[in-house]
Amino acid sequence: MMLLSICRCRSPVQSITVGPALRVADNPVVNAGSWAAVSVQWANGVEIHGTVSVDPNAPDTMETVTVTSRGWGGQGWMPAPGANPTANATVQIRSAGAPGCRDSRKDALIAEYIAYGLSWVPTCGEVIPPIGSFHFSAQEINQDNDYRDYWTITKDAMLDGLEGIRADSGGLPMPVSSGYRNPASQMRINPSSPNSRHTRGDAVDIRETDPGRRELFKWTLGPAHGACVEPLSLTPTWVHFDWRPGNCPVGW
Amino acid sequence: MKTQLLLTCCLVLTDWTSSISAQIQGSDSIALQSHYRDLESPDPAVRGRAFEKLRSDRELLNSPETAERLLTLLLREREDAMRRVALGLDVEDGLREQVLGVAWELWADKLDARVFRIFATDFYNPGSEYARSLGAKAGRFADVLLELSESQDRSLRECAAALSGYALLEGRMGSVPLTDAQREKLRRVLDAASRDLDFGVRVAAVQSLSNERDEWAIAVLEQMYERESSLHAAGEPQRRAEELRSRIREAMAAIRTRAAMPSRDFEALEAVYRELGSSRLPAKAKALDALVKREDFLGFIDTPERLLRQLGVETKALRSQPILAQQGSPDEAASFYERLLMTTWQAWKQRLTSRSFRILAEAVYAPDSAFRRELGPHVGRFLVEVLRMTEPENPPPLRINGVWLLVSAMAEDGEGRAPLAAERRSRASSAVLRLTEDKDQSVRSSVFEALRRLGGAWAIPLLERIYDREPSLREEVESTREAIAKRSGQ
Repeated sequence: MMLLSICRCRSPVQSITVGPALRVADNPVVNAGSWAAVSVQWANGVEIHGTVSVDPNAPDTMETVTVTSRGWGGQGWMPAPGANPTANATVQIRSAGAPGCRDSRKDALIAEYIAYGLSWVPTCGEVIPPIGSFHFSAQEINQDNDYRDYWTITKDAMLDGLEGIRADSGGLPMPVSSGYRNPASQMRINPSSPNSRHTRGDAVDIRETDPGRRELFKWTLGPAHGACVEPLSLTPTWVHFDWRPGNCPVGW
Repeated sequence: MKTQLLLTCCLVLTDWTSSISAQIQGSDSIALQSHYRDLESPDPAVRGRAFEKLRSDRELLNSPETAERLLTLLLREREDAMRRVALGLDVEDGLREQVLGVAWELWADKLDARVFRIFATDFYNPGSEYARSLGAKAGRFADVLLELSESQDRSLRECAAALSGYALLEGRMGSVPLTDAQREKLRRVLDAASRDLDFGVRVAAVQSLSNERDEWAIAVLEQMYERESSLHAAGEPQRRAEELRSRIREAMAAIRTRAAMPSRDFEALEAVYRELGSSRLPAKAKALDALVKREDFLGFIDTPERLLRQLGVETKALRSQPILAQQGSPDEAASFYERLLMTTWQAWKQRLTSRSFRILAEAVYAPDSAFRRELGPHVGRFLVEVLRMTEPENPPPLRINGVWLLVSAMAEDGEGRAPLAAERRSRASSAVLRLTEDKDQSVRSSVFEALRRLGGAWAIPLLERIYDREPSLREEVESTREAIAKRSGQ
């Protein structure tokens, strides 16, 4: 993930003034404590993301950032052939935010949300050690979580809702096929939906092909236990539940 | 005369379009064309950004061409989704859902058969709000539904059955009257669905038939009930057949209850429901009066659901546009809303479900009101719903409601009236701790205010935890502790 090297950064970067060789994406950088994320768009439109470790003690200074691509061709994220692989941009550094979560893995997980430009970034308190419930283990809920041995986001509403649905559907097993996904994992599974509820710890996919139980989940049990249920025609071998605050998407 | 009328219409139309065009001039028009081009981009991110630009600008959204462009985009996103689904890939919660919502808003009042078909064949759950509002307008398109009911695609047959049910219901309510021919076609869709070999289509048929009142629906359901045993013999699992038979029995009971009410009363009750759902405050207030006055109306099988839905609608309007939502004087509007809230509460308090609790708990009420106090003892059962209300994604007023309800649950537990399981108690106190660090000052203050008003000895260890976690809150912690001690007479 460390595709970029950035010189002399001392504080979370909040805004960037671009130099001639680089164009920086609209909302490239948000601070995440001791980690800052940078998203750079090359002149040919290819975008690359990276996270850098910064010292949050030098607010309101101007710095020069050097972005270097690793080489040419083959990986999709390179600048166009012939373009200079190294470029500078002037960066205005402003201090912002809290000084990290005092755990490098937790910081790295949070930094992913920024690096991928997600619309929501968890706080330190929302990132917790993996938990499960009586019938749904932390292991299965975190099977698509790259940080599964250390950190996750799991909402109580999801665990309670799942247990309720399981109890009301006759106590039959409900195998989880996907639960929490860190942003990088989400991008591997479904890059067209980076802000999926799976990245917020309130969504789960249950492997289910039995038409009777699928109907039961959709018409009765999902709504009765407060879940949003994705239209089943889009989930032929699984059922997606999520317990988002507010309204479900249109048609769910 | 006809020519003159036509001319007037044309002039009005020209006037209207030129006033819209006048609004979108010069650079705006160039921007609009550029957004339209981007909607056709092969890059989903570009399409998404262009859609966002249109959605966030009312003028651009209302320009005459935008509705059609969004329909094209919807079809494109749907094709993408179908491609991904065919490959077994996830498509959850993407651009398509957002486009569907916005396009539906633009088209809902100007549907023709072509556009109706596009909306009816999208991906949606037949029980969703979207399906209900689409179905309410489906009576005019009974031919399209008949055609969909013969599709090879099971989900289209299922949606045709659900939409026909909503259309028949709306027709009976009189808000979208049906001709005999339309009614007959819609009934044919349901009859076909009741005999469908697909379980989901039959479930949708039962759901739709359960809203009926006529003998024909009972006859269809009775035949269906008999057939379910042969389908079981033909290989469908017994559990599934039994489940459907139980739904059929419930549906028949509901139809018979409606049929048992004298026609004049039933029509009067449906008129009351219709008025309650209207947009005029005096009519709504009168309808609510009529419901409350007649015990048979208030206790009728369909009334709790009608009240709950209306409360949801009114709450949404009040939270999004508090001034526009008040068509009468603010006092009249507030009085209607409060009476609706209390009537809904009376109808549901003995049979609360997660959904009904959530709609009631998310209503607009003062944190220390009588209603909140009535909800208090039930919070423990629905703690998860309250925890959801406190999520940072919700607006502050909802989080504040959540704070008060959480503290209520802790008070009910702490004073032994409605004990919480240890694990729930721990979740409630963790949430309260989190809320003392909420980004919104009014939410943070509400934690201490609620503890001051509702706290007892049980709250002291919690206050100590708040202080240990955030020593800068010392002043609030101390003043809350003093208020609790004073109230408890210590």
